[in-house]
Amino acid sequence: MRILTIMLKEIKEILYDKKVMAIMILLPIVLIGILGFAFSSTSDIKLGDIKVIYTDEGDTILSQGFDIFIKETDKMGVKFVEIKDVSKGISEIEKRKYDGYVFLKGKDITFYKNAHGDIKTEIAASMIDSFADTFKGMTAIASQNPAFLKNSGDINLNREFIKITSIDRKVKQTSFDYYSVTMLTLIILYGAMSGVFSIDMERTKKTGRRILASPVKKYEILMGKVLGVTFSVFIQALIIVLFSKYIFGTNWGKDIVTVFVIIISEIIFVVGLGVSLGFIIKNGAMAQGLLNGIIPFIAFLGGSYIPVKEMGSQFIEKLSNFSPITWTNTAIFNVILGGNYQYVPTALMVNLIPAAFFIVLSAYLFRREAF
Amino acid sequence: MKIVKMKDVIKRFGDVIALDNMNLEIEEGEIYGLLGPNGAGKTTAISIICGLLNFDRGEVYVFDKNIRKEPEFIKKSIGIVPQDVAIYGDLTAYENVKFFASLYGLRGKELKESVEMALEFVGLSDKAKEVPNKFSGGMKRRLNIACAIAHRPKLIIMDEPTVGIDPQSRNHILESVKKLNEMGSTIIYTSHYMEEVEAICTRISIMDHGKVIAEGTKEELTSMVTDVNTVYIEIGSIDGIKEEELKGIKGVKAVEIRDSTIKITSLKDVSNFDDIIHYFISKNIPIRNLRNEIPDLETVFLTLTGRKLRD
Repeated sequence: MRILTIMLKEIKEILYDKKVMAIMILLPIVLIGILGFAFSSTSDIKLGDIKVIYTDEGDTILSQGFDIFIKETDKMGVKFVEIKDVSKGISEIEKRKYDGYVFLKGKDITFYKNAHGDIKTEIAASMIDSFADTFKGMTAIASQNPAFLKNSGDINLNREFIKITSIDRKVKQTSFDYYSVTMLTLIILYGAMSGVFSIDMERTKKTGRRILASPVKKYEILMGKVLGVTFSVFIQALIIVLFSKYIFGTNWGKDIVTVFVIIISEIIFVVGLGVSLGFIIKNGAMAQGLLNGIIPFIAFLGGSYIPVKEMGSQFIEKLSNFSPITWTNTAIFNVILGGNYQYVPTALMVNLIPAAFFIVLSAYLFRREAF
Repeated sequence: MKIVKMKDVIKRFGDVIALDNMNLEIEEGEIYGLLGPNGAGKTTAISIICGLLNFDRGEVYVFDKNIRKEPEFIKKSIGIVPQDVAIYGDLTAYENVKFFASLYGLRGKELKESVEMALEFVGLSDKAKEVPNKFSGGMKRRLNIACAIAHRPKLIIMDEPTVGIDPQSRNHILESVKKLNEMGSTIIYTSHYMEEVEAICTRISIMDHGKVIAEGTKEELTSMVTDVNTVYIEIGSIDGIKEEELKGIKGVKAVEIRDSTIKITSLKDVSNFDDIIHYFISKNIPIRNLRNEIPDLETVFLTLTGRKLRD
């Protein structure tokens, strides 16, 4: 119950602070508006062509079916390039020159993903899966009822059976869609400031001593603070999501729950970071300065301002893996655009493992010394 | 019942000894004054009693419970008014008091009534919905007290609660302290201002260098440093006054006549005031002014430590 009391006090303090609210809510909304409108006049954020290499050592039916598949998908912006040497194919994909590599052998289809695993790779993988399922279905029908295939006009796979759902919907991402996510995850990083101040303020206002003189246990104080700041930042994030959805028409996908799970994990991470900084650096202004220096860099690497791939630097791309926001953004984009959950566990781990570390560190520091 | 008992308590901060074998006993129902200059150890002693600070050696009992063993039980019945105003400037006065009272386990109707009582007690009921950022220094100090008393503690510790405020607010706070005591709370009151301590405290400890150097009622303390009383009598003319006659009054040790003022020093334990007055009446000498010089706590402190209280 005392945890709830402290939590509610934190929420009130943050939500009553007009300056914090302006920074945490108005600023991202304005930025989404400016960046969204600025880029929407030129073009949407394009994913570009999906480039896939393949080696065809499949049997006749599979090869024929795959040829039709290639022609169909070409119209959708998926470019297949044949490569004869399997090892070269794998090497190319390791170098991330293509989004995927398809190897047809007999009746088997193997798909190698680009290790970077962005949305284009996932779309290619999903299409190949779809093709493989259809092909299996067709061969099963052919073995049971060969007449069916004859009736359908050819021994080749009928185009209708190559069910490739339109990828237009998935690939298209407006500038509002992009910046709503990146500005949200960027501004959440600034939630670390609220974490810092939740500790520092008790020092500067001398209220910490008063709280400690009450029968509240230290763990209750810490939990109340972490939960209170987390909830406050969540409320701010929720307002941004709702505003962008209903005013800017941002596409937040069909699974908003998973998107929010990822967002909450980022919030817990930044709050943990902020609270521990509040204990380590016993000067709020100094901690704020440190965060102001780090956050733009982390955000830049996470593609908050422009997609990292657009920069064309492999070094920055590699470096971006060290930014927690990279994984958060990647996971959210994949869920929204591709319905792909592959990066969700990674994003959750990248956020929650350090968060747990920071909270344990805070508990240790708090146990040793009061505010 | 002894509300607080400190026995041979030692507290060190590195090489500095903040409390040096400190002994203190406070009875239930007292307004106990802790008087001493900065660095005397008052705040350290208070912090230990509140369970905010650990100590190196000795024993501390509050409400007959060992502070090391039952800190939570003790904390429940203590209210602390810190030296610095410790409130949240952006929360309303009501929310401030409610928050701190909630930490002591008050809920629902009891919480609401207690918060309202505390605000009324300090005269801030009409400001309940306003934020302290807009309050005067005196109002903030009063809210600081309200936050400490809403849970109706048995022991209230006030650490220099009148620092930097106007005389009106100071009087209000001093009256509040007396009322709280009348309502059943034992008070520990620390201050630089000896006149405050003199005015409200039933017993006083004088601290210096981490030790209690003197303890007792105001009268007991003043009697420690002097055994004489001095009376100044201002008259129109000294004609007819004989020094020897005055010295002949029982208990008078010295007489000094300067212009129209006569300074008479008597032994403190001899009651001769009536005889002195009678002497002037019998000589038909009208008394224009009369002043009795009683040593105050400042004198006591100066005598005991060789320093002024606010050095």
